Amino acid sequence: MLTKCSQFLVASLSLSIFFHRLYKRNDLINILLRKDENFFLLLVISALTLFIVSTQSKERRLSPNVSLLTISIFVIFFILFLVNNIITFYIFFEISVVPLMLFIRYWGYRLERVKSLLYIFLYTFSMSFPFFIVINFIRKTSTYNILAPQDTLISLDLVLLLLASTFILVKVPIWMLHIWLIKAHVEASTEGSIILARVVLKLAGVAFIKLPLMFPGISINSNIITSTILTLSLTGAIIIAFYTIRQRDLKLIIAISSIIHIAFMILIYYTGHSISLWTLLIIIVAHGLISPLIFIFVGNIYDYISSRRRGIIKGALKRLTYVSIIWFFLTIFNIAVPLSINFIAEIYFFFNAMAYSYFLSVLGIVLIFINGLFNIYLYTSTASGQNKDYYYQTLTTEKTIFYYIVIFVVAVLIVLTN
Amino acid sequence: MVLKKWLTIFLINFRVVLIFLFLLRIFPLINNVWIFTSSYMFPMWNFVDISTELTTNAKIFARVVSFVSAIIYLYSYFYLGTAKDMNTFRSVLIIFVFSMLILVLSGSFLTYILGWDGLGVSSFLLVIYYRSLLATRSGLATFITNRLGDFFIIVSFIFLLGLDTIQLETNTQKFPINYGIFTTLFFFMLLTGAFTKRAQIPFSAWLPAAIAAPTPVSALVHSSTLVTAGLYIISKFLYKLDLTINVSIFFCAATVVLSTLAGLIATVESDLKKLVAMSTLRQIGLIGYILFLKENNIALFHIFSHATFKSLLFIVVGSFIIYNTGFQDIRVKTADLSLVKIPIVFLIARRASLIGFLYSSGFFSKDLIILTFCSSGISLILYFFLLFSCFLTVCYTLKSFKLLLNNIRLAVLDGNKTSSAWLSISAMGLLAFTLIFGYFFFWENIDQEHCVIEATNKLLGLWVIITGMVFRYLVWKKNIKTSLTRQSIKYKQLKIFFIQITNLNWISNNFFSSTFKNRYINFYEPTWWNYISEVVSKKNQLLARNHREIKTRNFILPLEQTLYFLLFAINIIIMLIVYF
Repeated sequence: MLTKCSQFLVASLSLSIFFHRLYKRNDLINILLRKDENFFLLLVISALTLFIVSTQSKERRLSPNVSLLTISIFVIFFILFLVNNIITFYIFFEISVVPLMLFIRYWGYRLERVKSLLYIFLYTFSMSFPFFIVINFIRKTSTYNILAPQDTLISLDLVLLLLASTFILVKVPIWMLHIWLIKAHVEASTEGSIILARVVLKLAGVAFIKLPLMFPGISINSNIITSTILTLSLTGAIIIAFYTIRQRDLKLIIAISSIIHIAFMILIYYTGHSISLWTLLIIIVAHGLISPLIFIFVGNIYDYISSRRRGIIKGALKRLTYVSIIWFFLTIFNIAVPLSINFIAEIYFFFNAMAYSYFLSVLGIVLIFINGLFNIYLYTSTASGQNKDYYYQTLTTEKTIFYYIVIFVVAVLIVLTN
Repeated sequence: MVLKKWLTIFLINFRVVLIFLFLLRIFPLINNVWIFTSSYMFPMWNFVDISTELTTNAKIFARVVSFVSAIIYLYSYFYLGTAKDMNTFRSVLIIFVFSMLILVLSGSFLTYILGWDGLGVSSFLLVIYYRSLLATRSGLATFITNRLGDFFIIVSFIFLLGLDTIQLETNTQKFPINYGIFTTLFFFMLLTGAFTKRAQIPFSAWLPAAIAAPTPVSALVHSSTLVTAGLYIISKFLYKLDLTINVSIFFCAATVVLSTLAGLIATVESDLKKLVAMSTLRQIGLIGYILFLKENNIALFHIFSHATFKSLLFIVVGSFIIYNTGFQDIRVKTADLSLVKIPIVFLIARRASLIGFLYSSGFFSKDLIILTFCSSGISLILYFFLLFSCFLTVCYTLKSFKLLLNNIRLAVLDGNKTSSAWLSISAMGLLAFTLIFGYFFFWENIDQEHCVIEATNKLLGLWVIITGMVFRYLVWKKNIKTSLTRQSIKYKQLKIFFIQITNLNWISNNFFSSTFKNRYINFYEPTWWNYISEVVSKKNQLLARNHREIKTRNFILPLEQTLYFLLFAINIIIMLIVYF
C-alpha cells in the first residue's frame, strides 16, 4: 500500500512538471491547489520519505498499521498546504503528533517510551496555550484567513506574533524545549524517527513561513526579543554540541545534530533578511534529506547488532568498505562538506548571519566546527578502531538502496539552484 | 556486483586521468595573466562566483602537484600492491589531488573553500586507511585541525564584506577601501587558518600524527599539497596589506621557532617517517619566513623544490620500510640492506637536495633563502636560529643513514622485492625532475638582484653543511663506544623534552580518549604493522623491556612544560622588544 502511494506521488510529481507554468498565473486552479514555490519541493520530500519508509517495513514487520499511519501523516502534511484558515492549520498541526505517538507506543523498543509520550504531549500542549490567547485577538481584529487581501487586516503587535509562534518553536525545536525530540528519537523505531525527522520538523518550518502572513507589516528583524531567542538557540546549540561528543547512544547524537541544524533555521528566520525564506527552504530540504538516511543506517546496525551503544559498535564497519563509504558520506554531508546541499545551506546561513551581525556569524561557524567534531567522531567510532568481536559477528551485507539516495543528494546541488 | 563493475570502469578512467595529469604539463607558460570567471550566480546575491586563476605561478604549482601525484599514484602500486581496499584508496587519492588542483587554480573564495574542505575530507580518509586505533586518532587530529582552519578562514572572509567579489588574484594593488581594523582582523584570522593547515606551532600536532597514513599518502600530504595550501593563500594576500615590520617580525619569529624545534626533535627522533615529517615542518618554517619578508617568488620556488625532493624522500623511505620488513625504526635493521643498491643512491641524491648541496634544486632555493636573510637585515637572532635549523637538517639527514650502518640483523631478506618496476620508474622520474627543476626555475623566474651579495655570505650555506657533517661524524664516533640502549635512552629523554615543550603529543595521542592521564605513558613508537593490528608482538615487548626505564610516567610535570613554553614565548617577546 505504501509503495502504491509513493508511486502515486511520483506520478503526480512528474505531472506537476508540466504545470510549472501555473506558478506565475493567478488562476483558480492555482489557488485551489496552493501551488506555491514550496509545494514542489515538498512533494519531492514526501515522495521520498514514503519510498524510504516502505523499504523499511519490508525488512521488518509488514503490518498495515504502519502504512496507515504514514499515510495519515502525509495526508496531514498535504492538508497543511491547502488550508487558508489558521485554525484548521493549527488543528492539523497538532494532530500530526498523534500518529507519531502511536508509532512510539506500538513500535518503540523499550519501556521508557511511555515517558517520551508524556513529554511530547505535554510540551506541545502546554506551549500552544499562548496561541489560543492570540487567536482571540485575531478573531476580534481580523479574519482567520491567511490569504485575505492585506489592506483589510489590522497589524498586530510583534509580541503577539512571538506568543503565537511558541507552538511552532516547540515543534521545531528550540533549545530549551528540545527534550521531547531527544526522547522521541531515542525511544522510537526507525520509521518513527524517519517520520519525525522528515515530516514533523518540516511542518514546523512550513508553519514558520505561513504564520507571519497573519501579522502583516511586522519586521522580525533587530528586536530585543528575537535577538534573545536567536542567541538562546545558538548558545544552546553550542552547548549540546559539546555534550554529544561523549555520548554513548548513536541515536541521541543524531537527534542532537538535527537540533543543531534547526538552530540554524531559527537563526535565519529571526534575522529577517530578504533571502531568509529561501535559505529556510534549503536548510529544511537539506536536513530533511540527510537525517532520515542516518537514522535508517543506525536502525539497520541496531537490527544486526541489537545495540546502539558506541562502546559495543566500535569498529563494526571496519571490514565493509562500501558500507563505510556510505556512512562516511552521510556523516560528511551532515558537516556541510562541498558538493552537497548542506554546504549550500551553510553558505546561505553564512550570508544571512553576516547580514545580521559579525558576532553571530562567528558563533555560527563555531557551531559548524563543533558539528564536524562529533560527526567525525561518530564515523570513526563505528568504521575504525578496535573491534569488539565477541559481541557480534562481523557484518557482511551490502546496502544498495542508499547509493541512489546519496547520489541524489549530491545531484540536487545542481537542481536546486534554479 | 554492479558496483564493482562501476568501480572498475571508474578505475580505467583514472588511467586516462593520469594521462591528463601529464598533459597538464603541456600547458604553455604564457606571461600574461588570464582569469577565467564562470560566474555561477546564486539568486539575489552576487557575492559568490566560481572563478579560476591562471597566472604562471599557479600553473607551475598545478604542474608540479600533478606530476608528483601521478608518480605517487604509481608508487602506491609498489607499496600497497593489491590490497583489498585499493580501489577506494586510489579514488580517494585522486579526489585529494583534484581538490588540491581546485585550490591552486582558484580565483575566488568559494572555490578555495571547496578545495580546502575537499582536502580535509580526503586526507582524513587517507590517514584512516589502516583502520587501527592509532590511525583513527591521527585521522581525527588531522580532520579537527583542518576544521579549525576552516573556521578561521571563513571568519576571515567575513571581514571583507564590503567588496563585491573576493578575487584571489596575485596583483600588487592594495585593498581599495581602508577598513582599518577589519583588514588586520581579516589577516590574522586568515593566518591562523593557514597556520593550522601549515602545522605552525600551536597547531602542529597533526603532522607527526599523520604518519599513521601509508607512505604514499604521507608523501603527497607532507610534501606538496596539504601543507602548502595555507602558504599559497597567504602569498596571494601579502601585497594587498600593509604589513608593518613589527608584525612581520613576529610571524617570522614564529616560523623560526617552528623550524628550530622541529629540527631539534628530528635529531633525537628514531622513527624514520616522523623524522621526515619533522623535516617538512622545518622546511615549512623556512618558507613561511620568506613569505613574511614578502618574497613570493622565492617562497613558491622553495615550495616546488621541496615538494619534489620530499616526495622522493618518502618514496625511498617507504621502500626502506618494506625492505626492512615493516620496521620504521632507524636503530633496528631486520634485513640485510646491502643488497638494495638503487634506493640508496636515490636516498643520497635527495638528501643532498634537502641539505642544499651543491647544484641540486634544494641548493638554489635554500641558498636564496639564506642569502635573503643576509641582505634583508631584519634580525640577527632570527638569522642565527635559522642557520641553526639548517645545521640541524644536516644532522638529522646524516642520522638517517645510520640505518645502513647498523649491525643488528633479525631476518634475511629474500630477493623478491628488491627490484620492482613501479618503484624504479617513480623514483627515477622524480629524481630527474628534482635535479633539473631547480636549475630551470631559478634562471627563468628569479630576479637577478637577489644574487648580488658579498662573497663571505655566499659561502654560508656550504659552511653550514660542513659543520653539520663534522658534528655528525663526531657524534657517531662517540656513539660507537656507547651501547645502543644507552644511546636510545638519552635520545628518548631529549625527545620527550622537546615534544612536551611544543605540546605536540597532546592532541595526537589523547584527544578523545577517556584516560587522559595516559599522555605520559606509552611513549613507544609503533612499527608499521602496529598500525594495522592492535596486537603487540613479542619482538616489541623485548625491545620495550630494554627501554623500560624510559616509561615516562612523570618525566616532565605539566607545570614545567608550561614553563618551558612560556620561556620560549618570553624569549621571542624580548627579542622583539630589544629590537625596537
